Amino acid sequence: MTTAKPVDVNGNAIEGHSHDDHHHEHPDGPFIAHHFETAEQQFDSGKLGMWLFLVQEILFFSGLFVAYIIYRNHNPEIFEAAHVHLDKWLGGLNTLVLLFSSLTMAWAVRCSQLEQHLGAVINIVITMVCANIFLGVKAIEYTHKWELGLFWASAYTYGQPQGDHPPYLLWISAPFIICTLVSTMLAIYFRVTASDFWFKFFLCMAISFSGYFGGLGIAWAMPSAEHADHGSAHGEVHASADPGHNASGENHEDDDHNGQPSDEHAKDEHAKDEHAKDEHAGDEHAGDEHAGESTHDQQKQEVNMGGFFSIYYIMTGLHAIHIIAGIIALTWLLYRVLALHFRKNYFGPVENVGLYWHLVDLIWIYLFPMMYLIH
Amino acid sequence: MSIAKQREKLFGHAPETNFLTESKGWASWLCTLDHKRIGIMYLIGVMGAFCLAGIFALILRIELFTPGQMFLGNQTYNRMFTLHGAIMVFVFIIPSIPAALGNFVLPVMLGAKDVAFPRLNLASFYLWMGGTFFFIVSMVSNALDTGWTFYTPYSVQTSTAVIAATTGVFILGFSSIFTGLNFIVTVNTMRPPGMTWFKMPLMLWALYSTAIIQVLATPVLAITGLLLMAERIIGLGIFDPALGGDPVLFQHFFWFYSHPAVYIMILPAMGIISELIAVHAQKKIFGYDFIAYSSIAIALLSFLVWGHHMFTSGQSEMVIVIFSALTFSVAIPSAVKVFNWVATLYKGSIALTTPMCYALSFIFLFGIGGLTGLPLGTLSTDIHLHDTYFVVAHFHYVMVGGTLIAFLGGLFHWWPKMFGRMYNERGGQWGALLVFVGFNVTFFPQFIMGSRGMPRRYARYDPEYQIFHQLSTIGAIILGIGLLIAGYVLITSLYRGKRAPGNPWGAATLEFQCCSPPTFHNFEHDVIVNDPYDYSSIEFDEKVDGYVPVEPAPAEESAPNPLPAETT
Repeated sequence: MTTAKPVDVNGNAIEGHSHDDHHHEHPDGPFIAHHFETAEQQFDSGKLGMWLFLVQEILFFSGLFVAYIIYRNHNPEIFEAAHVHLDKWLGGLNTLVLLFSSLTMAWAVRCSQLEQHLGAVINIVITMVCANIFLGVKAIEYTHKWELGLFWASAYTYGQPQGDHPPYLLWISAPFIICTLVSTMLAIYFRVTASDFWFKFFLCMAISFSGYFGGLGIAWAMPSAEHADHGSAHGEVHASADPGHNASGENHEDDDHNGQPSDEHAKDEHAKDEHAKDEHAGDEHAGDEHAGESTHDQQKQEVNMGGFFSIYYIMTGLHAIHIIAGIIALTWLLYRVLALHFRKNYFGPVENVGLYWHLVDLIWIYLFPMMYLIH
Repeated sequence: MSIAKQREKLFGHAPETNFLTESKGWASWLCTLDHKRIGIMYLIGVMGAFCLAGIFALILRIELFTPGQMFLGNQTYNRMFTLHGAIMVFVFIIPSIPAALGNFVLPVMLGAKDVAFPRLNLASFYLWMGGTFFFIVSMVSNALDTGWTFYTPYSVQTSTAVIAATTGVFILGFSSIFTGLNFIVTVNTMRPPGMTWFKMPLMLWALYSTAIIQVLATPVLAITGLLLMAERIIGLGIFDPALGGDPVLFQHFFWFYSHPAVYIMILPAMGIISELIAVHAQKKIFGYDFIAYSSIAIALLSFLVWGHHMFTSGQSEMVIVIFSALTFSVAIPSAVKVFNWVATLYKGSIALTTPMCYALSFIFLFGIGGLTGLPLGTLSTDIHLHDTYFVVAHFHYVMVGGTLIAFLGGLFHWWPKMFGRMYNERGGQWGALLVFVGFNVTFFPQFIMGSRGMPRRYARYDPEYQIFHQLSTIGAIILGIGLLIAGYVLITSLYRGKRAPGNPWGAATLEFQCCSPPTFHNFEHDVIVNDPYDYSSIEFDEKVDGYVPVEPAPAEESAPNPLPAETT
């Protein structure tokens, strides 16, 4: 990887970009489109376009942040009570993993600018490994909650006897298992057929996907506070004779004061949608319909805690989808870096994927305290 | 002398091909990266959607001819007005001017070879196709009946195809975002030397302002659609009070996009009108800076007024007063534009060409549409007028009387540039006149019955409103005939029209410096950027049956005979 001449997948030098109407190469290089005057103009356009895309992304998430603010403003006690189910250590670990991946991403951009292709490949692979670790940890967090019945509002069954559930972790891991196996097999195949380019590519991919299992392992091995929290919160909800009592963990001494005004709020609400509540109670607690006021309030609380998880799942879920999109973009970059496409006057794609990656990181930086670190 | 030789005189050498003949076959169109071809594909697509939704409108109007049921059941009626609204708004009006006309004219007016991201441009077109496909799926499977606004909780409860329609809206939203993103970047980075911000034609300022709204507002609609789908599929509960959510939150999200979307519709229309008025009155535009800045001002203010759709939905009094005041403030930049157009017309040499007919209609109709917005922004009157036909008439005056009329005006203005053919001027004028008359007969009675209490979206009504409904239906038929004539005039021009000169109207903007239709690269020579509204150095030349710049004085001695109009 010392030559700067771009090659195609068979190792032949690329002569020009085949446009349907344009076969002559741009004077600034093979990857400068014909409608741009200079490489610099193309770079500036691409970068401005990416910034606008990021603005669009921020507004896309802004709707969810608004939903969070309104829901939390309506039900502050629910957030206090529900967030103990989130493991702040796993969240913190993921924060560190993403911060580190931003460092390697920025480093990959620098390497591309300096035409250090090996460095760019290494840094991109580390970034992808980090992305996969993040998803592995997230998979453990999600599946653990699902096993306890901590679903979104309408499916929330926490505290009820959980019947047999599907093997959530296996399902969610299946795509990663397949990707890892396929990448490994292709790497071996191309090693055997001596196709150096694709061997390197799929080796890098296999390493990247194996990060997911690293994430699973780390989350599994972490001395997690989650299980303890679940135990206590679980016990408290059901042992509580006082329907207004919060289902918080033992680490929130001032909960009772916070809980008081919101209980009144809860009762007002309760009067308004009594009918709906009855139906709902009927769905989930067949036979509990006549249990009276206290069951209703408890039901309300349970349902609202489901509301917290609605917001949790939609925000972190969309964020995870953006991580997956980032992995796809990084895969494309990996291909192009290995094909030696980038040089001093053409590294826009690395820079732009980097910008995207930093934004995904930044959104998590907001999600982590908003979800995990509430007091 | 042949057309090719004429061109040689005008452009130094005769371009052998133009963008229409550059390459042949379906694939050369479907995989094209040329902004002009993408614009034309968009044009065909949005016109198809317009015809479909227009037929729905006609069926609705005919059903409303009598107070009782004629042939549409209540449920069918609900589905039909929903699809009329949703297809018109999301599939037709929003992409009509920016994506169809804008795609064609923006790079040429700017003096660029293409938009900054041609592949993104094509992707945007295919996203539009995909979104439209989902709308059609929704239409043929279990047609939507929520109204185009998808208000919860009904949209969560109804059994109709909300998810297909929401998916369509989501995809169309990204189509719109990518178009806007492309335009902002193109205007920022693709301007040729000499093309400063204040030498840009006002159409570009308008498209730029539109693009800002498209990029900033549409993602909120996307997330709203996603939340609505999650609400229906898994019972997320964010809009469901039974699960601790808030249904009014949906309205806030929806209108945070959909009010700015009204300006996505009207701003590019205002851009077109700024061009048409100046060119067809052959007078320098009055108050260029004010028109340019007022576009940006409208774009920014558009984000601050969404709450005026929810005066009766349960907002705090403080909030509705603030929203009401901000709503009035939008009237200022809009009025600035109208006054400047009228001042441009003053002492201009007005030619009543078809585009000018549409431009004059626009000023009149947009004036009514804008002014009737004020009683709707006023709290006390809005309580009375909310959800009546007054609102229906108001937004049709803005969307149809404003956007559609300007779209047609722009289409007639740039048609010779797009296809290289002149249309029958007389036919075009008749079409414009019938559209104007038909439109007013359709919607003016709706103001009256609305102010007398006729609610919108009702399939049946009291006999006291019958006369207004019948007028409205007759008007709709006249409007339909007018539009058919306009379409006929344009389509026959492709076969029987005279060949268009490079500059048939005497415009000074750059798209009229290149030949009609433009070549693949738009310009055969480096563009010379002049004042886009300075008509002093352009004069009519009989030899080419069009306008030419004065200075080069295209070789009079070598062309002794005026050219006969060539037809094919």
